Amino acid sequence: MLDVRADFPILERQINGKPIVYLDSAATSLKPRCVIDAVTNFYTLHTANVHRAVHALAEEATEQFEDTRRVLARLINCDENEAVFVRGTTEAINMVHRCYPGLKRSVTTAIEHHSNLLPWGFGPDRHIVSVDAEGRIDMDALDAVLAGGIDLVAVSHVSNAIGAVQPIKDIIDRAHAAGALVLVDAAQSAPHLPLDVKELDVDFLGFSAHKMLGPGGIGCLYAKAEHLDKMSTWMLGGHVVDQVHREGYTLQEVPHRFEAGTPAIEAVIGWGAALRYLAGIGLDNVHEHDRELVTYARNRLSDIDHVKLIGPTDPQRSGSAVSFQVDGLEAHGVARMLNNRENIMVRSGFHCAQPLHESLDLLPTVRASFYVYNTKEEVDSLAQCLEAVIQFL
Amino acid sequence: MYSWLLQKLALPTVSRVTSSKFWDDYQEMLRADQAPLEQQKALQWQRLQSMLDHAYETVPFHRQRFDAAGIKPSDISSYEDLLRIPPSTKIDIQANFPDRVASSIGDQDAWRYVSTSGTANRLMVIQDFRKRDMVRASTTRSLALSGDYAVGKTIVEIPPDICNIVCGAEGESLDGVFPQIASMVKHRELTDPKAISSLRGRIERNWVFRKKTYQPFGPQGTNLTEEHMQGYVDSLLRDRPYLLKALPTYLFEIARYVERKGIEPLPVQVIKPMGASISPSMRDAIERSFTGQFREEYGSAEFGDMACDGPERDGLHVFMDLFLVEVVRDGKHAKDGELGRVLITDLMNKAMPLIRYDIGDIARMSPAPASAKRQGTRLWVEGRADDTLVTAEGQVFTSDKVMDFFYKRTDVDQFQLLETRPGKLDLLIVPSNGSVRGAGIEDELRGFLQSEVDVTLYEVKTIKPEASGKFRFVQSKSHDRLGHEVTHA
Repeated sequence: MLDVRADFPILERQINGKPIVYLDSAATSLKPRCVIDAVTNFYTLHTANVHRAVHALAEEATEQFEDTRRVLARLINCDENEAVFVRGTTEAINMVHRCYPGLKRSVTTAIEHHSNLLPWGFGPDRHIVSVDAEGRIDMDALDAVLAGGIDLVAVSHVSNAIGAVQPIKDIIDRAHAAGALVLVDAAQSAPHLPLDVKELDVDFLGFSAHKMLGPGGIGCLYAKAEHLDKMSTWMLGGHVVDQVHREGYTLQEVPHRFEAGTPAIEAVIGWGAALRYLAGIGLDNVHEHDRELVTYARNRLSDIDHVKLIGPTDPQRSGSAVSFQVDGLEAHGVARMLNNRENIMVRSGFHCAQPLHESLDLLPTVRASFYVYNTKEEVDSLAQCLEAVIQFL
Repeated sequence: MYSWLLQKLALPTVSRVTSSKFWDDYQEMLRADQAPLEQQKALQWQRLQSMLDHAYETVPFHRQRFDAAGIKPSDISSYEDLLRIPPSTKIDIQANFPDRVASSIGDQDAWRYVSTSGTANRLMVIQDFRKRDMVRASTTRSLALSGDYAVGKTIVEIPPDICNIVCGAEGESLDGVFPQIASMVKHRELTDPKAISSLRGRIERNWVFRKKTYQPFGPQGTNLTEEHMQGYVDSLLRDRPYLLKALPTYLFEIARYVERKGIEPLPVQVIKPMGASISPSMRDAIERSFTGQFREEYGSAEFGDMACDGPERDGLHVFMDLFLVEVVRDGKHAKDGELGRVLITDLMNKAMPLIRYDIGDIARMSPAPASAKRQGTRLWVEGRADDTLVTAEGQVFTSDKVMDFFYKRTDVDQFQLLETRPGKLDLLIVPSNGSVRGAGIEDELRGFLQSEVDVTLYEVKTIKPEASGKFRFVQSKSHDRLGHEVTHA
């Protein structure tokens, strides 16, 4: 198990005299001191716009900003020019939908976050493949849809709602064999698993900084260079153009042509610190830590009467979240009681995946999600608090 | 005929053949209301002492607090003695819920979790079957005291807008009785206690109280489109309910739409507020737009109805057989008619006793009998304590008072007064026509508050509700001064 709690200042906070137990990292992660320091340091010493001026502060800011792109590219094994800064995973998906030509026939799955459902529309050319109670995609159904002619498969690597991990390489290979491109929503996998876009041969991959220890409002769209070359720009303005004349303009090279206006500079720089921090721990170790916690949590919670675990039973197919229901108690009620009694912070509801709940006939669930700073003792706190609450059912 | 059958045949039969005593309780409450004051007080005190004994013996939270205060239930022998019991707050209850605030005895299979509306800060309580019967009975009693209500007359509710789809909040099921029976047959749940309980709830909702629920205004706030407002009018003209119960802001906006459009007063016999108090000018506007009378009541999901007014409009008459209500100020009982915080002791919920619970409201109270007919304690609730402005000079302005100041103005359609720090106010105004800039409204507000507060005026198109779906038209940062620096009320 990792031992990094001292790096996270917020964990020193107490509410009503008790420490906080943060089990909502699938929503957003806590921030280590190095990220907070990087953002503060930028404001304190380096504030300037990027890619513009020739003065010292601007050069320092640009260097720090672009350094994040370099670190990012190394982390997922892509070229720096294939990493486009966007506001987050949602924007990455929408950008592909809006800017890549010819994506008329798409297929997605019932387990997707709303962000990977809504952009693809609801017409006859949009297909949704079912999943089973453990979140496994119906691969036969996927093959059948692919055989009918599909331009793009849009699929999440790890479910935010129930933590199911998809066999993403297999899906990509099947799609490519059928002539389809693949977009992977990696919002829940990039923070927790080593990803190699070359090895996966994925066409598009989106993820967010705030779920991987970085600041909010920034994320990445990875796209193969040949795809970026085909994509149109969706916003025009400062930085996206090389030259502008009364008669017209020429665009910058990729990825800059997709980053209109002044970006969230301090967020990008903070993300760089987060990525270096994660690289220092090693994403293999993060993955192992998560798996141990999830296995422990599932075992611990499965021993409690009235608690019904939702999602994958195989630890190899589990991400970093455990979802459950409590017989006789509304999910929001459970979450409130955990918060009110012991400052245990979990998510409750549909987790922006209402079609999944509908297709599996599931009422809203409670989700405990873990990251590098969580411990088995915190899982014990969750279990003990649930036991205390449930004794009255 | 339908009501007659319900009252004379169906409900008495249900009382005889099932464990539900709702109808018997209701009859007993009507008798209690007619009893002499001394008899009412005796019943109240007897139930209080029983509840204190029960709480001390079976609820760790209460035992610990009694012990910490160095008292036992037997030490509480007068109204003044109650002051020795520390008040409990929402934070206390939430931090100890459920195991340390619920009774260690009782039929836990018959317990049910109940919570107030809203999403984040709801207080959850446990009610036993007996308490649930009492809640139903006291609701019916409030209706009976409102006029010529008979069980079976149509009720329309417009509850606050809470996120009930995307956010996954599960509320009361609005489905009918037959779909539930069909589901029970299909899933072979005819003897399942949960399914039966759900069926009972639907029968009560659809057949006994004949409730219809209209869609709330939604997150866009107070100023809906004319088409939307006309939808409410058309629905009410179609349903012609005996009772319309809705968030006061909804009632007020519908009333003003009716007036603005010159529509004949809508055929509703009784109008009641839900989830918040109402100011006198709002009540007047509502009564002009409906054929019936506005009736106030005081209650919540966790307690049920606690008080209601009658045709005499002489305050909210506390249901003394079910609750002991105190109004306190500076740790003492407020004087007759003096403003203070409301503390509630529920005399009936043995599953989870709530004793001297600070419900967050401020009110005035009078023990003086209103009339020979209704002799009990009366209450005048003036809003939430958190919404009360206290000026540097110690003047207290409840949200009701502030609402009246604005709603009397013809140039203001809606408003919101946000105290960003004591003495600094952001004033949001939805103008009735054109602009209110330059109308001197800031100076008039200063004059009303009798204080040189800093007021910044913003014109807006709508006032939005909070996440709970309720509207807070006054948000105070100075309410902490209540009970400390108050010199005048």
